[in-house]
Amino acid sequence: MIRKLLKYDFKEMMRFWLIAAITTAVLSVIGCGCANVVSCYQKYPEAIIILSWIFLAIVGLSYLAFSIVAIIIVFARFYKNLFTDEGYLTFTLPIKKITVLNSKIISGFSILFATSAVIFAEICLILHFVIIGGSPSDSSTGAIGIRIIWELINALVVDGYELAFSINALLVFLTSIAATLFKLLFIYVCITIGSIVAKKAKVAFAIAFYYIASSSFGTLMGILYTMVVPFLVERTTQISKGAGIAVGVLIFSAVFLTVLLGCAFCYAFLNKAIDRKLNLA
Amino acid sequence: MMVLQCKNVTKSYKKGVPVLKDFNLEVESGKIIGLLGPNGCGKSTLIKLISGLLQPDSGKITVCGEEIGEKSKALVSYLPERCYFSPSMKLRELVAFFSDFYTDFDAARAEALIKDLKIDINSNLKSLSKGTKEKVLLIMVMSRRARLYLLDEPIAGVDPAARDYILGTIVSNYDPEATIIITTHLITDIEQVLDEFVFLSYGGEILKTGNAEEARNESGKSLNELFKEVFR
Repeated sequence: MIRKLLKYDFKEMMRFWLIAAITTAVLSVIGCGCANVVSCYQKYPEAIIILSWIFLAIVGLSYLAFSIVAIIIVFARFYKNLFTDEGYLTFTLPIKKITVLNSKIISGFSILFATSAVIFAEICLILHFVIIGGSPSDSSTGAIGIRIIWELINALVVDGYELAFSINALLVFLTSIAATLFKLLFIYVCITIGSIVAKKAKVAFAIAFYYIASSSFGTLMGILYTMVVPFLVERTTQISKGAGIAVGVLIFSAVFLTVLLGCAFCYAFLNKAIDRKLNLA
Repeated sequence: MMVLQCKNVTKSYKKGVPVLKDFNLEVESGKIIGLLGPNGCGKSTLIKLISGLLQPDSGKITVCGEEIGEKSKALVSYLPERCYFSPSMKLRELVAFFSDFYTDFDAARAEALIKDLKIDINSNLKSLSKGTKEKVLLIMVMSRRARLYLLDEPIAGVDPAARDYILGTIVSNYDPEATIIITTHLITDIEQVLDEFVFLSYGGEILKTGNAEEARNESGKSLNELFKEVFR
């Protein structure tokens, strides 16, 4: 049954998401030309250069708009499908409530992940057309941005600690994915609390709850950061760079596990709340 | 066969103010039952409890022996007071949606009934009038071969012609093996199709229940008149 639910979730969300994705793709393709123009600025009149910069700014803003649209699509689908009149249909389908929840998590996460991937790919595409040295015939033409990033990463690698560094890189990547999942689940939690607790203005309540909870969490993390970082700096300056990377594995592992724990807590809460506390009156 | 059993069901939205208190009801198959009562007596709450939209504070509800959940929902076809479809859906998508999720859904019957309404199956739900949406909603619900139909205020807020259509659709699509529970306070319009009735008072108290025909014959009054007498 989850396949059928996913089919309808994706179908509904893709209507708007595809339009936004295609719009940014078209803008990015034009942006490639603009990136080429601004990096070869000696060749073109000033007006063209200014227009290209303006267009590149628009492309940047379109990425921001695309991210916002994706977020709205995901959370609007969750709220409308579960907590408005549509919930009457969703919760009378012969499906376990946890299956409905899983479908919303998988589809929501996929959309958010796909949005990040599309934006990343489009930025790489634009960077590919940036020409160093200002001349199209320059030998360093193409994939400059990606090459710079790769060189920066390589500079961090210490001989003999390649494995530890790779693990760190993998942990950072996994943590960023887990953090996206946590963010999704946490906002789902806020929407669910808003819908269960508030009698009116449920969305406003959910937003207020999200703001208060994330501000409190941010403050707590800030305090923890100011306490832990000086201690870590003091300790790591006394050890070698390689050992520092090895310590990093431990720290990143702890962060990754903490985020996973947060995901598990949110999931358990959502499961319990939707199964036992939700009353569509 | 017993289709529905409610045992000591209590449900309150506010602490200490139960909408239903120790409510008991047993319903057998093959009947059209009118759950009749004034506004706020707990008719819709009971329907939502049976369909799994609400959780009882205490007590137990079973449909064909199944506790409320995945299996019971496969046996129940629920018509809510409001239109629960996404307005962006087309009628064809709606039929496909029901076919996907309900194994007992008769798509051909649904399409034929939609055609009878002279609506294009490719039209969008948001393009339909309120009355037509209600008719489409009823068509989808009655096109299932369910064991229990729960129709919550099916004729409220529609014009008399639409009422006739709705009642006609209910009666003509009714499987004699199945049971239909209809909640309403518009008794005059609905009493012609009822086999049995339940007069529900505040707190879910059953004031009077029985066979509709027998009650009319014994009292020489219509159900509407009996209702007024009981709730005076």
